Amino acid sequence: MRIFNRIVMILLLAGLFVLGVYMVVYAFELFGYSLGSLPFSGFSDGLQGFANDVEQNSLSVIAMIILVLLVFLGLFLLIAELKPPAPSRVRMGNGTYTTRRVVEEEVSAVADEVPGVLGSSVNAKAQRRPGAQVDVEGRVRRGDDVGSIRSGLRSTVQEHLSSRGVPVSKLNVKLVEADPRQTKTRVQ
Amino acid sequence: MGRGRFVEAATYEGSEKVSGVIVGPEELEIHIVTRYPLPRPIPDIAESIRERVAPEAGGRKTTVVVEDVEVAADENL
Repeated sequence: MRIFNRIVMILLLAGLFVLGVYMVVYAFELFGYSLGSLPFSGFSDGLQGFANDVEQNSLSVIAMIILVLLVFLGLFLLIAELKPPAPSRVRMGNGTYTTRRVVEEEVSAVADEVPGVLGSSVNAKAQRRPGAQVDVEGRVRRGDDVGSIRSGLRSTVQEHLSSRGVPVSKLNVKLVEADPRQTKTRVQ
Repeated sequence: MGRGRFVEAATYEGSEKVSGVIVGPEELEIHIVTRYPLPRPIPDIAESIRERVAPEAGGRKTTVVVEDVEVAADENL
């Protein structure tokens, strides 16, 4: 949400700046512009018409759909804003932390050694509880025994991280068929 | 010692800067880089560090952050 908040704030402040410039230009009647030339009447008429439609419960279907979507959007943004940010470090135990990069490098080092795995990509996420969520994507040849490679990869990663003392709260292993000419290693 | 991603793991005292350690009023954070081959699992190494610095920590809660695991250069190469 931090990036989203930043984008929203930049857009909001840029909009306020532009409005401020317009206000100065119109208020001091610079460059031939004046407040009297602004189309306020049309805007206020439209707003009044919308308020009347709401009071009389005669809103169009599209207007109602847009309002409902706005409610859901607001609710989603509120929940996303209230949700505490994910921790940046992986908790290993009492007062010991490591970085996600360390976990990713450790997993990547052993994943590529598993027979049948031609290459891998690893993503580790820190969680509030001890341990990391590790997503491993292994690249295998077409026609290989995916089941045995998956179980081998899973057990190898678990054993290695366990020997290092890095707890894993969740390990997701995904295998994708890849062209050996485009992988890190062609033969295992 | 590790220094953090943006060298933020440091303590300033007077005109001196000590990298790798963040000393707060109630907390002490030690950033380290371990080296292969690891003699023991990482939590055991962290525990040893905690025990070693405990007399100097002044009762502060000590946190050990492992920032990287380096591969030691092979002298035979």
